[in-house]
Amino acid sequence: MDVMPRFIFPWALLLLALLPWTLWVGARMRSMSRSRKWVALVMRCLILAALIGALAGAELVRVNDKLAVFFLLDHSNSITEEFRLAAVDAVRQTCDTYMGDNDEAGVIVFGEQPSIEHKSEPRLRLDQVRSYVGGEQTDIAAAIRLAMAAFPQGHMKRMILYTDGNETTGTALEEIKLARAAGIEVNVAPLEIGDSPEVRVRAVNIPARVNAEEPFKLQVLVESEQDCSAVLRVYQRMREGKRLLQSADVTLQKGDNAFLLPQELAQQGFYEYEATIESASDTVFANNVGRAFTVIQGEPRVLYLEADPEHSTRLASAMLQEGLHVVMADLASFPTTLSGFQDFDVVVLSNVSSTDLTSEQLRSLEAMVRDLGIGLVMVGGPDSFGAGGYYDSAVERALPVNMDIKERKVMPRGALVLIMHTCEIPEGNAWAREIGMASLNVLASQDLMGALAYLWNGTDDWLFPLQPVGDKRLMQARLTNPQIGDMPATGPTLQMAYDALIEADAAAKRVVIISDGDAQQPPRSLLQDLAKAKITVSTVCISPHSLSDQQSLQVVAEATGGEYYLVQNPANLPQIFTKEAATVKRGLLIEKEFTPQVQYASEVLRGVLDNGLPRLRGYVVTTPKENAVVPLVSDEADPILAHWRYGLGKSVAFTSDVTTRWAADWMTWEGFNRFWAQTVRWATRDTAPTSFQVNVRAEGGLGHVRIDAVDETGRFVNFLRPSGVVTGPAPDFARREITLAQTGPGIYEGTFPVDEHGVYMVNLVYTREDGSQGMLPTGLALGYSPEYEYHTSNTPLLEQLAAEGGGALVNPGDNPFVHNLEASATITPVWQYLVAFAVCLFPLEIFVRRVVVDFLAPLAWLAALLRRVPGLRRLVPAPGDRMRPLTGAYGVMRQVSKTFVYSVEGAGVLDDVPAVRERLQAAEAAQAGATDPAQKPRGSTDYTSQLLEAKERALDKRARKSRSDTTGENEK
Amino acid sequence: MGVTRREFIVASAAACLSACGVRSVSPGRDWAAWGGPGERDGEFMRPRAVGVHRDEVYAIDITGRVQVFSATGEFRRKWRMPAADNGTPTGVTFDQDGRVLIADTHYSAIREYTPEGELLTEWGTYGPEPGNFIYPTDIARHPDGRSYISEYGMDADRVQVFDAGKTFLFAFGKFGSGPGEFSRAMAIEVFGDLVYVCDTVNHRVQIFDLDGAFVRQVGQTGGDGHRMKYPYDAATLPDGGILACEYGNNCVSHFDASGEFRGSYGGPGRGLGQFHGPRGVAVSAAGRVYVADTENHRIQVFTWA
Repeated sequence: MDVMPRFIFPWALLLLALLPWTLWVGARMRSMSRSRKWVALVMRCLILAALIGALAGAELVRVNDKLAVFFLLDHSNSITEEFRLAAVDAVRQTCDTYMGDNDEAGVIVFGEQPSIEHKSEPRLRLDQVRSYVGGEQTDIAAAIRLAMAAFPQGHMKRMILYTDGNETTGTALEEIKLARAAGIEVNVAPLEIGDSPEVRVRAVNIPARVNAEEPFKLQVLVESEQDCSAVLRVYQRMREGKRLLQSADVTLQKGDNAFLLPQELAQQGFYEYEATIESASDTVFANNVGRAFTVIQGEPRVLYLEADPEHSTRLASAMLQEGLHVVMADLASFPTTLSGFQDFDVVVLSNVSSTDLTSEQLRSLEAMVRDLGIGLVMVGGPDSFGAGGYYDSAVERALPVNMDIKERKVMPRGALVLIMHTCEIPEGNAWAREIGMASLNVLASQDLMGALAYLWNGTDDWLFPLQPVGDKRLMQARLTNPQIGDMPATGPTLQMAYDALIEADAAAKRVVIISDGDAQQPPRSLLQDLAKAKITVSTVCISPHSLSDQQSLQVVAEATGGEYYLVQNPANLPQIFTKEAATVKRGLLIEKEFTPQVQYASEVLRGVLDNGLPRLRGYVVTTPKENAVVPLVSDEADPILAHWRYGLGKSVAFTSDVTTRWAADWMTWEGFNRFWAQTVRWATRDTAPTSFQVNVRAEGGLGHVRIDAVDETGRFVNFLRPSGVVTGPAPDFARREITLAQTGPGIYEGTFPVDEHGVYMVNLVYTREDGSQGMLPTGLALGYSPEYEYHTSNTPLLEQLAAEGGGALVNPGDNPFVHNLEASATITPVWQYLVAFAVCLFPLEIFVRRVVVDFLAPLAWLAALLRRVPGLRRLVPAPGDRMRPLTGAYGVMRQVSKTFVYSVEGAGVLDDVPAVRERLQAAEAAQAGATDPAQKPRGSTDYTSQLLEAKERALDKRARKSRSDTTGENEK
Repeated sequence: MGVTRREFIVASAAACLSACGVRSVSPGRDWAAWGGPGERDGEFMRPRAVGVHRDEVYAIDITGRVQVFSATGEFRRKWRMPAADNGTPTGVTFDQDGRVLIADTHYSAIREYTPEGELLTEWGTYGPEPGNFIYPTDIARHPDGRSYISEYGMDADRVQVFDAGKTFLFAFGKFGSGPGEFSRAMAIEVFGDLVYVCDTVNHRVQIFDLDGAFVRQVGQTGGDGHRMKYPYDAATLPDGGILACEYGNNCVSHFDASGEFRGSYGGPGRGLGQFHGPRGVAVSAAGRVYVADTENHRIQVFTWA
């Protein structure tokens, strides 16, 4: 290993020419001895050289002969298990065969994201791949980026990329250029997939919008690698499932095959088609399906979900009588995806608890209003709004009211204790924190909360004891990193909760246990005590081992009057805890008679206020949002009816209900039908029948949207400025703005990226020249991941990657450990050390030049010291003449310092100079006498005395001068 | 000299602590550990059962692997339980013929294997009725062929006894906290004419005769101020004493044949000689104690005498 110096700014070394000049100037100095002069000069040159080196950016370069190889293995879905195993074998064999002492190797696996399977190590033993990277995408660029970061310092670097080159996201070529610039060689070992007889559905095409009873053609494009027979099936998907429209035996020819199927739809709505192809010789099945949408417009459709179907008739009949097209739903048939809501123009939820909806449904409801313009009407009841656990949910964001009611003054307080046994679910501690936070957020500052767990040190203990919520940050801090152990029995913690709650001053007391049910259940006597004290215990069972685990938790809930939840997906936990926490807040429900007061005569109240509003008997407390319109309020000024616009859509909150519990008088009121019809109509999506054609198709990783705008008379409609929102597939519903540009008469086009498979909802809004707006809802369905579009290796890309990476296409068995790369170097900057060296040397150089060190002085001190020891006085000789001046000077200095002290106390220093001199001389004499009594006081030959005399002369002269000046002035 | 530096330091520290009035903790000797979190051979994911037989150590973790090691921890072989999605066995033991007896707790079955992992027989059906199991936690086989099986679940905490032909003979115990009652019977051992049952949530080990009559209990009233906490497993010693694996105290405690507390090994932590939620213990003929140090994902071993 060689170490070489190198300079970043070598031109700065020209300054080294100053060195000879420095020597020349320095050599002419005559004020010091020869040896001191040369020592100082050498030091000065060293300082100068170090500073010049620092300016030149000196660094040390250590050249290594070590080689690190990273194997990057493609584990996307386009690579079958057979190819994956072959790649792993190849890596293992090459490492076993060729790896030498100076080599290191590591493995990165990639798909949707990269992961380091083995970091770079001198020994690599790859048996199998354990990393999970997701196979729906191939991101070669990310893998290269990770490898670049993972290479060890100071090695020659090489990557071997095992891939089919079917990149679906990222740009590997760009990344490879960076790798090359960093001195990394990239070789490609192509995985030659694709000589299989693959059959796939390339696309399903239908017009995005058609008119009722207008025939149209559904086109299915099937691509085949060979001539073969297959079965083509076309389905129509509905909320309830899918219906087979057609099944046909078809003969496929090599290449693209198009099949046209005539269709006709009678009813308005949102229709989704699915086509599948089945062939006996096919290899990959994931790409045998394709989907497409179409929309038939007509009268607005209302989707109505009521928690208790018995109560649904009154509102449903009101809407029907007013001419609305109402579709009744129950929880089972309520749409689970965003596209499911496209069939409707407004959704009415009546007393539906958030825990009855999945987190995806909640997010869909928000996205539906914001991005698709579909209206949302939430009707209250004891399970709605805050009491239904909507606090901090996606639906709350879409509604015109907040569930948070912290600002109200009169609230009976509640007490909640959480018992956390979350260690058996993956990320258990994180979920414990989540649910703790969810509960905490709901509670008001005067409510009480505590959390219990079995801690890892073997004790059942409070994470934080039952106490007023007050400053939530303190409790949040305790939840930050709970070390929760595997609780053997729930009895002890439940007993602790009971003991705390029985003492607590609260109107509602609740315990919530979250567990896998595996812990020993609590004694029955304790459950009876809890029931007697009206402390309800809800149990949340997650990941149970068996039915009996579930039962053990169910028993606890039943015995105490709590709720029992069985949770499959931890993502639903925060919702449950939000709802559970809300139950202790009885103040959310106000149950008393009052007449709603009109605060603002909104358009939804038009014509219904003539005879006044009937009385209501209760509502859920909420807080209106800043921009919401609140037409009706309670006698305590809480919102009863509120509405606002949210994104492209509108939403309404009615905080009382439509049942006999709170609204018995309303149900018999003559204005009931009109009120509700106007409210629902106000929220309905603004779509009007249009003659515009919309087409959305996917190509090359982009969704292409095209509008053909022709009016009823057949003329092109120009200058529409269409724009809109594309909502990506679940669960993220990623939202992107899209703008369409006019590309021809009546033609508008735009694109949006499609990087994952699923349903893309496209909602376009256009503004006509007269300022009126229209909405065009449509969508795009990608039946399978882009990963399955590829069925052969992308050899051109692989060749390009290898060429750009400075490597080559290699066979899997080739030796990757050949040391033929430009030797890598470890670079250590040293300029800072040079600066430090110069800075340290500089005072030394000054010292050498300025200070004359008498090396004999310490000897004199030692001698003087020894002579004080009785008996040694005779043995130790007195200091010679060379030592004396220094000791004398020291004595003088001491005397001078004393004199100055005296002088400050006295009349002034200058006036006392003769006295000072006498003292100094006396001191010097005493000093000399002490060292050698035989020695006479020294006269003017002494150096200090000479200095003093010179000073005295100068002072005398100054005094004389001032006297003569004074005399002169007087004479004048 | 016969005394290593380490032993000298440990002994001196113990002496100092006892001199200062601190309760002396028997430290054990020759602590060692193997494993670590992982699913490769020799690694564990929360090992929950451990057994030792003929100088081989058997450990079962929550991946459902039965791994066999030499007495010093070298991996020898492994096999997998038929399923592990519901949960995994909590007990492994051996009969006189060398069969490996595994209570497959979450599948309500007893499975018997050869030491090489070949399944010989499996029996048991889910149910609270006599002869069926809810959660069988451990099995102990008397030399006469009778099997004693501890069990919990749905208030069915009990011990069931079967003859050599797997025919149900009788059961004893029920859910509760009185003498002869159980709250989570997590482990069982037969030693001589006595049956030892770890009554985990009642924090004690109960001792019965072979017919299920209550003899005495250990733990709750243990001397020297030691209170047993969640004993998940126990191993009997040749002198009739027991070593109890205490999940709650993170230690292995030693009780002599009379039930007197004689000391404990370990304490909470992650270092050598410390435990984190241990759930299994076994003692070899050579006096080495093997502990399933569950939350530390390892097997720890020490000499107890």
